[in-house]
Amino acid sequence: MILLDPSKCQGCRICEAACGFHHSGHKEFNPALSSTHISRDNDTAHITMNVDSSCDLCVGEKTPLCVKYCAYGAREVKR
Amino acid sequence: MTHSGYAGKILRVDLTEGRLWTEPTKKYSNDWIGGRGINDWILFNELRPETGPLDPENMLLFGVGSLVGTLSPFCCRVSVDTKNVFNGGVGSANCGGHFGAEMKYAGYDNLVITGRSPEPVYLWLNDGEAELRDAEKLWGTTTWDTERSIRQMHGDNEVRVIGIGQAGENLVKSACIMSDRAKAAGGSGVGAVMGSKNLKAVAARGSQPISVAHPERFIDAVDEVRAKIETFPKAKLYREDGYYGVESYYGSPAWEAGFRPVRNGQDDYWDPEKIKRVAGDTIKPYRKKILACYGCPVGCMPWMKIPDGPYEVEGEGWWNNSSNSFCTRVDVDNPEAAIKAHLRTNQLGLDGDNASVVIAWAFEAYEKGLLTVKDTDGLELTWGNHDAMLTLIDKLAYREGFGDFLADGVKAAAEKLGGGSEDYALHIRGQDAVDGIRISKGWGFGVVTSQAHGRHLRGAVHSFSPDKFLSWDDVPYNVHMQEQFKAILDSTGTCLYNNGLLSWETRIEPSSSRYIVELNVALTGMDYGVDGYMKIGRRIHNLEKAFNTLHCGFTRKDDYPPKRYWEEPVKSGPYKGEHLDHETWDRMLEQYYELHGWDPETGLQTREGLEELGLGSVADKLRAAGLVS
Repeated sequence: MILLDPSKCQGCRICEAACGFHHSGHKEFNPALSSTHISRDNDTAHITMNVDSSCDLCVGEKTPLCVKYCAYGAREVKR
Repeated sequence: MTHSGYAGKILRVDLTEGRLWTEPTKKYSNDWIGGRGINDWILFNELRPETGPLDPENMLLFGVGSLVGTLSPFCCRVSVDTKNVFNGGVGSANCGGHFGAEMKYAGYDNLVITGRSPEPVYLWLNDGEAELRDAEKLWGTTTWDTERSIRQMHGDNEVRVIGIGQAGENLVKSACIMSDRAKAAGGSGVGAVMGSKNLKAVAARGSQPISVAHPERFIDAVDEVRAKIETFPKAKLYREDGYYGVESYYGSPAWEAGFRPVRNGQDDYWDPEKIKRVAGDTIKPYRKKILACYGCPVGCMPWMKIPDGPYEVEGEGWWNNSSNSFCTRVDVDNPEAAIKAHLRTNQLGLDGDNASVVIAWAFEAYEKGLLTVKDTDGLELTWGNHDAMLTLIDKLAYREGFGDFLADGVKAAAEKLGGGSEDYALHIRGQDAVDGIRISKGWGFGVVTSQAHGRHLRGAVHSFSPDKFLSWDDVPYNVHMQEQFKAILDSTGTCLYNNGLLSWETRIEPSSSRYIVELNVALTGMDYGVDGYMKIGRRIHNLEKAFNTLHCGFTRKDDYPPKRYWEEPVKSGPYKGEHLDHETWDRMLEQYYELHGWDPETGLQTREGLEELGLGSVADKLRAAGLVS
């Protein structure tokens, strides 16, 4: 599973782009295909992160792409 | 047919008729990439010189760069282009945040908006569909409330909003357009143009895919840039302390480089005891978090919070320029009032850079006795009076009382007041100019010659090495390179500041663009090589130059700094005595024009130069107006 740490997330959402890219078979950036979602409350800066059941832990990739591209250490893979 | 890297459509909106239609992005992208490049070409060809900035016929364009909405690091930018409200020339602003990516996912690369809606509206972009919606209830509200209301109306907290506050509605010339409440497309009065169209906001939501031409090559390019970024210690520091915390700590060379003029440019050096009170490390207690724009691995924008007291506020934003606009320029060393001022301008949709120029000018006119409390609605505009500054910000945005006197910019205000106040009205080609330009020569020369008129987001280059601040070595070359490079960044949607990690510490050469070019080639398949992309950069820059020539008649005489910076040297600090001199400036101008292939005598473009860039049609328009050498 993907472990999430919202306290480290700075809300860039590159994980969403990476996830959709994986699920498209590396063909496109498609938000509809992303298994992960980042949301920020603009009144408080509170960030929420989630991963839904469509996550396949990036079958076929060396590392889950959301973990690979997170620059903030907010995601980790636990197998 | 998919168009790799792009949403594929440009939305045209006629607000007067309420008509919306699309055209393919492909019509323009091969020649102009995207973002600012496409915006500039449409503006040059479709906007008539006699149209006024606030006329319905003026055009307002939003252009998302080609790399936005992908894994490309720090590519989130939106270019907003129009006719400048200060002088009728190039009007151009640029912002980051999350709106750009969402606009592309909603199905649109560029928006081309003309006309004036009979009633306030907002433009709703929703997964490939677009419509105008009633904004009567949003009119009169801040950018923050507008975003919150639109999200509530759509029941969706992920809707991204770009729009104006009260300043834009009231046609204040320093009005900007705010994205995500905190990212300002500032300068050129773009917010006033939006206000003149009765367009409160653009809201976007979507999940349209963006295809990749060469996926494996693209991933290799992304990975190379990401690895390169991590070799810079500053990347980690930005994430932890934000851009301001890293670049403007107490003792940082930036405080001595003259970027932040003091007391309306009377000096470029500020009392270290005052610096201490607002420097990056000392305002850390107010910084609750650092946030990132879309897709950025180097988040740099702080979330600020003043928990209680008269300046209680909380929100995203505080930038290097904020300590110029709300501190040095008006001699304010109260950090809480300054942070409040920054966030208040975000709410009102007022560009801090432009607005603080006319505010500081008023403080100086008050100091010199030209203005009294009778003129200022009772405000005592004494240096450092932060409460007066805060009150004036609101008055300006609402055009209330003395605020209305200031609302058309510093040139107009000084012409009304007279009495010699024109001499310290800091504008370039009529647009309020925030930058300090006496010390860092590459910065100053780039600011003054900018096709966006006294703004640093074109050719301004600087060094963080104090021993090079004063050097004129290679300044014309570096500025003309940066101008081409910046045009590529604005057309691909790349952040200048974080891309700066890859290029700013070294001399700008065509090869500086290699990372961005490789990303764009792999994403879009447009394989023109580094030289081909730099040529597009030169074409975009020349297009803006031609627009200014055609619409304003600007020539060499308009490439000089405000009077104060010739005649008044820096008064204190390590660069005491430094000022600009005519002889050097003229020599630099001639070198700069020659590098661009422009006439060194007049500064006008030449037919040969334009034809070499494939801009024969531009030369024809200039020739018809007698404005090409």
